Amino acid sequence: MKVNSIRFKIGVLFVVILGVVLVVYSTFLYMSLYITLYKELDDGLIAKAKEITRTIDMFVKRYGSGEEDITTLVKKVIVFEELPDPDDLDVLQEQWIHRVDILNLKDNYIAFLDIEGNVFMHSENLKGPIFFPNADEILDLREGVPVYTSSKVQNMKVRAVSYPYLFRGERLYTVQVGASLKSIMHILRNRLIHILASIPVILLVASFFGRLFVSRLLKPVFEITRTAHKISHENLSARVSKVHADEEMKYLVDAFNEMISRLEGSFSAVSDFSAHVAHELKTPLTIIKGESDIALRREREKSEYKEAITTIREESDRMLRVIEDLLLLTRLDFPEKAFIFEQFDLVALLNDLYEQSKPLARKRKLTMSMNAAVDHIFIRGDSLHIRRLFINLIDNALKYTAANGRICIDAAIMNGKAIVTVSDTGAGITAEDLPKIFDRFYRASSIRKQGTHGIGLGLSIVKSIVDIHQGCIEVKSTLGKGSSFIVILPLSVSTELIPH
Amino acid sequence: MRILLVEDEKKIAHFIERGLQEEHYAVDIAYEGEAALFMARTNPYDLIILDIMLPGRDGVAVCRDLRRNKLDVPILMLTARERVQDRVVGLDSGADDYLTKPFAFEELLARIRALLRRKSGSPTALLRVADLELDQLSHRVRRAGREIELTGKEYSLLEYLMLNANQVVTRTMICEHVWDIHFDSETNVIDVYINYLRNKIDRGFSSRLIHTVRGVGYILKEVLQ
Repeated sequence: MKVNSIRFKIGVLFVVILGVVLVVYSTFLYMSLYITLYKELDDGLIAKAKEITRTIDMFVKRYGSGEEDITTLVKKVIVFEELPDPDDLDVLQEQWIHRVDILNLKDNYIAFLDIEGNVFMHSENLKGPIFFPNADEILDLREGVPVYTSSKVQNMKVRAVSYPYLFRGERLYTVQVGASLKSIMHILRNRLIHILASIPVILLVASFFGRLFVSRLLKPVFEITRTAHKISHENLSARVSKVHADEEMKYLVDAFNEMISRLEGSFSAVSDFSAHVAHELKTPLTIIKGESDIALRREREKSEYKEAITTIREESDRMLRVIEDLLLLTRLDFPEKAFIFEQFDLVALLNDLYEQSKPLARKRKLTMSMNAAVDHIFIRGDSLHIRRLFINLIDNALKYTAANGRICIDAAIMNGKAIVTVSDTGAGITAEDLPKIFDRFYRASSIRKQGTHGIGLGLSIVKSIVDIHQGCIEVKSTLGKGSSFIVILPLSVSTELIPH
Repeated sequence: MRILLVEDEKKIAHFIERGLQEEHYAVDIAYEGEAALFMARTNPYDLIILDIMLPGRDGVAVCRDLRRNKLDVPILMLTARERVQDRVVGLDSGADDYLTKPFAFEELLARIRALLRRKSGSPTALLRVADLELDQLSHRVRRAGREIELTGKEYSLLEYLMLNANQVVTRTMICEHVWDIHFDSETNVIDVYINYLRNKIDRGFSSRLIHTVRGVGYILKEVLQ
């Protein structure tokens, strides 16, 4: 797994978060155990210290003569240096013994100090005091506040409490009661070992499951990657399945699939376009090559060569037209470079075209008329391209109208727009062809059957030019009766100022 | 050999027709798919040259239709589409060969010869019956090493007889495979041409190769004495 992979990062994050939580939580548990254990021990110690002082006090009250010094008393009461014969003991004394037994001082360290910190008595397991209180502690003790300390006695860790004891209401002493920390330390060490051992194990297990989980989560990503690898310009059919994807991943998968679909669409448009271009260029080339191949196969009559060369010239012209149309279309895709916008009179341009087309119409036995509702229509545009636009429309009308038909050019201004209609009484366009006639290389099925030369770029050039002039074009057509192409172009500002 | 050429571009159809006729093939032309289907079903062509981009039914559909109707005539697809997937679709639809436009006319002829050879079962372009030899490449005919000059139609007729050597060939078969659709089968033109051939091939040689099968037609074979 790579260091910069999401799986690795999520895995690390997962382990770090879990690790921190575990450490904090374990520390909390450990500390609370530590505090509880120490508090219990301290409470026990202070209880013992209190009990010792109370025992001494009560002994003094019952049996004391009022003369004994504290050393004698302590010896008598607590240490029991000289254990009295049980027969000599009265009931009360027996009770005392019992009471001291209950205190169970055998495992404790006990020392008695005067208030200056000098030891004057201690239990046998000690060689001196459990610890020497420092000045601050002595101050506390003087004020009756017990002091807790952890210290070492003969290399043993010992917890001790120093308890102030006011003997006979006059002299202040300190009773130190201590206990070994061995058992507490043992418990705490065990707990610490458990914690330290369990955290890595938990983290290991968690990271394993975490990785498994992340892998499942990222499955759609791997699938997208696999699909993306499969996709090439030759095969755009692959799609990612979103069956197992989570909500967010579904969006990603959807977006990805839609993107491929769009790519597929535009790729097939491009490939259709280039197939058309190839076909349109290869057809004349095939004729040129075929005619020359055949002409050169053997010696021929002069007239045969002439015929072949004529065909070749015609086909070269056809190729040239295709190439020019294609170049024009390409240039129309980047109008800012190809267009020179200026103001000109549309009516004058149409009249000019009308005069040019009349002889052609006459040759094909068609009547042609031109009708302008106003004398001038000024528009802003590239006059060369606008001329091309109407040449294409008139050419189409001439091409697809049978003899004795009629072609009309009408120009008018309506709602502040220039309206030019080129209508014919030709074959018309079927309803299914109508939406596609402006597509590049589209030729209506009826036209294709006629075998008329045309490559299906004329109308798409018309559409591009109209679009660049921010105009629009509409077609009305009835099959067998004719078609009208209505071009609507915006007027230049000055036309609106000219009164008409 | 009679060929159906299916091509919507008239000028392409025109030059292919001329070129093939010069090679002594009889050529019929269909400009669209439906017409091609009708003609292929009603005439026993030796080969069909099929364009793919046709108005109406396209070439691939025409090819599928012909194969579905159990017509096993060799089909050569001749089209501007050159992508691998187009070739695959074309060949899988039942075409025997695929040639892209623009093409060298010599290559078209070679492919036509190859397809016709495959159909007739002869492995080379040289046909031989007894001591009579016909070279389909150079169109030269020899008998016993002696060159024989033939006109176009005579050549086509002899080629057909040699391709079907040792089999009876009826007048209808000859008219269908050697002449094109404009031939009027009511005339005795076939008999006249057979006669021309006999004069050139059999006269002056010891054994006759062209025999008449009375009431049926003709047979080209070597009769051993």
